[in-house]
Amino acid sequence: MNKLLSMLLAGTVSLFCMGQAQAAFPEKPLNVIVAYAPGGTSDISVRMLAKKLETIMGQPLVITNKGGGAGVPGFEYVMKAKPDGYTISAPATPAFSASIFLRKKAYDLNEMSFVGTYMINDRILLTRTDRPYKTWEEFKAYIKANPGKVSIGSGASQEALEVLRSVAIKEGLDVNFVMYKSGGEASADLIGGHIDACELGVGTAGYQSARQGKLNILLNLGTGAIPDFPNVPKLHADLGHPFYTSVPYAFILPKGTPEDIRATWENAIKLALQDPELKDAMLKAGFSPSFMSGQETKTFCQEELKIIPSMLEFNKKAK
Amino acid sequence: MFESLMTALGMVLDWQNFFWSLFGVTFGIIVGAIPGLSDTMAIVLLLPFTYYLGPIPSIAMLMGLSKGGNFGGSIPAILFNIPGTPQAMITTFDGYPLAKQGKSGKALKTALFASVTADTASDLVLIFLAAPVAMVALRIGPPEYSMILLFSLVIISLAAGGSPCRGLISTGIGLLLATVGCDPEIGTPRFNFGFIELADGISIMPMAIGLLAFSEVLLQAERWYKDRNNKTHDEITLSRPGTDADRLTPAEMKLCLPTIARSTLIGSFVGIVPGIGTTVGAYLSYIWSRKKSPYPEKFGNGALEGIAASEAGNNAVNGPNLVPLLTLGIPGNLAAALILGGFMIKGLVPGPQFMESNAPMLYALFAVLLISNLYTLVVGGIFVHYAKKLTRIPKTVLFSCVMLFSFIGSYVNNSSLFDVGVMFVFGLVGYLFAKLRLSMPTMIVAFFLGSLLEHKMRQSLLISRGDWTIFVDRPIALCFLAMTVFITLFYIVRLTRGRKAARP
Repeated sequence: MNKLLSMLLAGTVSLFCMGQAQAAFPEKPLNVIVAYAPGGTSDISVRMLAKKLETIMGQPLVITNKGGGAGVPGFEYVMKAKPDGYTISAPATPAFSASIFLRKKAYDLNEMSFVGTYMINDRILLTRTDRPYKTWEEFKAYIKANPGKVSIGSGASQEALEVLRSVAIKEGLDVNFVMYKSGGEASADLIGGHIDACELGVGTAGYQSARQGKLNILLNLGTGAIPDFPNVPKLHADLGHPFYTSVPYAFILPKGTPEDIRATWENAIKLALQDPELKDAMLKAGFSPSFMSGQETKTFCQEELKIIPSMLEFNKKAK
Repeated sequence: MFESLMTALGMVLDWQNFFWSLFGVTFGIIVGAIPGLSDTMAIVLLLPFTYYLGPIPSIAMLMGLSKGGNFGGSIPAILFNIPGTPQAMITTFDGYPLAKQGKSGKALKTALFASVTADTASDLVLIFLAAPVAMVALRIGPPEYSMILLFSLVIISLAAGGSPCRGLISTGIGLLLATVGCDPEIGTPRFNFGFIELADGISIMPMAIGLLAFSEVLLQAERWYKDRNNKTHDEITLSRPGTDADRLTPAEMKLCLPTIARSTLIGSFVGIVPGIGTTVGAYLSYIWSRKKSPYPEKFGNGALEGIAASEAGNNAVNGPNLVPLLTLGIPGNLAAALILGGFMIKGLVPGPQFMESNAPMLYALFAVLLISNLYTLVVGGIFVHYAKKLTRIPKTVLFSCVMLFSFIGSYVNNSSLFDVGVMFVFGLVGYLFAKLRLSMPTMIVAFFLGSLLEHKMRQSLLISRGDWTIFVDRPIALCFLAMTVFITLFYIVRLTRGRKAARP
């Protein structure tokens, strides 16, 4: 009896499926691997998006944090996974520069399948409001007047620190660069006045203080528009500096994933970002939601990865 | 003010808060009591649940988890000499000897009493002194930070007890392990032997699980193998209900109170300085209580004040640890980072204006903290009553379970098999430490403080362009440096005098 019933059931299901074999892709829960510890910008942004993606994909998204090693092991775990669309890496792109800085090895971007970007994490330079300088030009003049006395911190981005170093070399500025372990730690020292300026990502504590008018933003080290501060000068686009850092937070699948599955994911991200509620929540948290297709993301990353070696070369020469 | 208090009352008096807080505390005690699993891990696992709850119930659950976990860790520490969470490792010093004397009930109740009292006191610090505490926290920059770390490190390595030589060796090993990872200044990998997984340093959770839980399994297995032909096993005799060995008498409670007060002070201070952590709070409190005690020789052999100091010291860190989160939006530890994530997903951004614009929510949050403390007392009391029965589980079964949970716990943290390997290696290291009678807690704390110390010192020197006077230019830094020098000299003098006196 049971056997008969299950056969009947199987028959119905297969009949049903024949009609829409293409749309059947997510038929079990999807694994999203976040290669960073929970609680940071990357983790929070993915979790925000995941809620919306679940309703679009019609399957639950299981978020796993595989932290450690600056995101490289977690990213490579996904790249080695079965390319069936059920294991996906997000936000994967920070691993690109981490790999270059940690082991002098750049990824071949053709060895992976780009799905799409959901937000751009730009780095910005902040200072306290009680300082004599209010703009980037005034800050430069201040550093020139006080050589060796000004300290600029970095909220744990080696790449942004190198960009700032290249700026200092090009403009002939004599500053001290101080590396921090996390954006939170750097924010505390900036707010406490132990350093004069600090480079931080959007969504960090320092950035939130700036949104509330307690800190000034001098410069955008990236290329994207910062929603709350559209008038901040961009280092590359507005000031003509050859180098910049801009990290698109993107979903990436292992190489060899069928195109229709990749497109399903891409479409879902696009749809999710059209939701006003999600957009609003992301803006409220200080993130800058913006969609880029897989191909656009790939081109964007290729451009950026070209910059790093020439920037490091430039900085080395000056030493 | 009155209006927002009334709104807050409305927010608090919701069955959801009470339910999720109770759930959090209960679940927290359970995972805390299982060696290998920890409260932070439980928070990570339950984080997705918070999407479906309102902000206050989610915070109630997360805070309940961390408070419950903090106490839960002391249960196996006392009964089996295995701390359930790293912060309970100091509790083993006196808890396990007491259990061996048949006073497990007394030990557990002391731990519960000290935990809840100190937790409540530190929450009151958070509630009433958040603004001044945040001001102090902001004054602590890299130079001050370095000197506070140096001070803690010196105290812990010198005064840890046992032979000073072994204490220093343990500290040295901890500091050496702390150098694995990346250079804090230029970001090049250092001593990672080609493993990219070690680029952020050795992860503390698997390391602690290996050293504290897995090594004990190995030691117990060895002991069991050696004693297999003997009929006499050193069984832990349970304290009989109703006897003095099972309860904490009012006189003993009074005896512990000064210790708890002192430890709350230390713990709260440690909590203000983000990143130092609960274990250091517990260790410093323990050392100070031993120093202040009229019978320091009892410490390590079952002194109630030892348990009280350790438990009060680690719980008191929690309240002030939330201060930078609420005032500046900067998380002081991983649990706070996860709570921050919970806030942000809800579209709330903690920071300077959070206290003004969301006053009712803040008051409700404070109320929820106090409710969690009450639950910890009640649920903890029930657990204490039944936890003693755990000692009836055959040791072979018990330690197999501990081994299993050590593997699970080290894997789940980063979902990484590499971390399981780390746990295994440090299990063997812990075994060697026990054989060589080196101090494991000292090593762990040195490892923990070492990487922070290097970071902060190098940051200071980058700011000052290599000028070391930055450490004496600032009053707070100078004060801690002077204390460090004074204590070191004092200790050396006492040590050499002791030697002279010992010589005929």
